Amino acid sequence: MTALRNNIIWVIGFGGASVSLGLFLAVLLNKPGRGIGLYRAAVYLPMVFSLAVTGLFWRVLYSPDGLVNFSLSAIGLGGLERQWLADPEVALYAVLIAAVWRQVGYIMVLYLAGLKGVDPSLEEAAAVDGAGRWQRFTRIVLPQMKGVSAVVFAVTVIDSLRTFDIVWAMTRGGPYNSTHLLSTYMFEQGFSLVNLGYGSAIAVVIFALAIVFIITYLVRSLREEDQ
Amino acid sequence: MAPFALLWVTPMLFVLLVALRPFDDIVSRGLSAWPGALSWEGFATALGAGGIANALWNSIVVTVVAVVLSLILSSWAAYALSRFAIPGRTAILLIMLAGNLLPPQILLIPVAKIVEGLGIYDSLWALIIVQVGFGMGFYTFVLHGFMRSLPDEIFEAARIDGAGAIRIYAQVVLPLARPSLAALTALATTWVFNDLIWAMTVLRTESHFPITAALLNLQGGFVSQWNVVAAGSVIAAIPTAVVFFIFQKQFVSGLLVGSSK
Repeated sequence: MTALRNNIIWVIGFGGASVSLGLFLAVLLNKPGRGIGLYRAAVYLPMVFSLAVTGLFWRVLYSPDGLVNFSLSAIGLGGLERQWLADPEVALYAVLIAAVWRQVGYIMVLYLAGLKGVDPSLEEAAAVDGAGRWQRFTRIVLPQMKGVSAVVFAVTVIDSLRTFDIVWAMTRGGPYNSTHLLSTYMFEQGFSLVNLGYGSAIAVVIFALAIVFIITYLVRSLREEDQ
Repeated sequence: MAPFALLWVTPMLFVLLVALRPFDDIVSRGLSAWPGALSWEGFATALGAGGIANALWNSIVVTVVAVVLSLILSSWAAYALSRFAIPGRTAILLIMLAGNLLPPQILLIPVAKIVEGLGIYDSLWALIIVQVGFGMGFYTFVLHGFMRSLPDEIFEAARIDGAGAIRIYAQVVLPLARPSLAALTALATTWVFNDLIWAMTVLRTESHFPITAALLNLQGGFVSQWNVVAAGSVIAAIPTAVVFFIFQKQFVSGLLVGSSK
């Protein structure tokens, strides 16, 4: 049950954070300018690391005298210092941040491509009519990227259900099972404890959740194929 | 913009710095201190005693064989499905793609059983075959979309010139598909190289582990020797980073194929 609850937190937290950050950075980096390629590459780069590598990177950062605690005390927030991955209260969110760090680049790629398809003349027209920046963005730009957003949504949910490596690399579901997702819980039951029946049952639950989104994604791809 | 880029790069730089510091320096001055000295000690330990050199080699073998094999096979499949009237071809294509989108965890138990049944459990071949089987659906889907978009006239012309199906594939379709193949190669290389879950499912002996699985062992074996752990993960990150910088364009276009139009 913890695994299911965690998975729900994961879908919302991982999806919400990576999509909003990815979209924000895509808008920010969409204008041509000095060093824009370099900035983009900086955000893309984590995406090519394996989740295991990402997990280890962040283990180093989260270690008791690692960079996270060090920066917190350096900016006067020493009270927030803690054992990030050993504290059941925050461990899940600590892993989540690492996963988001890696995912944002991917979302940004998708939205950058989406922004290319946005017609700039519409935005200019709206600006002439006196629409503010935020209004132009939500009313003019976002609706034009509906297609991309649908893909991003499907990809994010599917990715959340697939998440395994990073949790395994950072905490193996601990401390006290506080970071188990459905997939790690299933792996532990099925392989570490050789509880094949129970493991398979969890697998069926994951399958049932995933198939809905996979079918949505397939229907979309099929429609595009036919066009 | 710059602060965001900096925020994104900081974790990588920090790990790199830790990897380059001698263990004594970390112990005496703290993990987050500015390095007092630099050395290759962490890298040497990770590669030697940590078994990372061997694991890196395993990863490279699996990646190269699996990527080449799966792209050859899926280009055949895509050619057949896109250019010949095979009954139920849309269904075949969608089932292949759906298989690739499934969370791999739900297939772990059956795959482990099948691999055991075939008698290849715990060998690199098992990992290669699983990777090929799992990746093919997506590659076929992408290549199919591309091959279908080729104009019929090209095929007519080739046929009139007397080229058979195989010759058309080798001399017409493949050269035209080169950009798609390049994008898929860049993507597939990072996917296969970065995989952890299949390796954990079909391999047991440590000397067969690819680098991702070996990293987890390294972390268990060198607890609190942060320079070794950091060095190991930097070594595992370098190959994909190199692929990314060389093929950045293909890589990005690969990510976009099949996801946005």
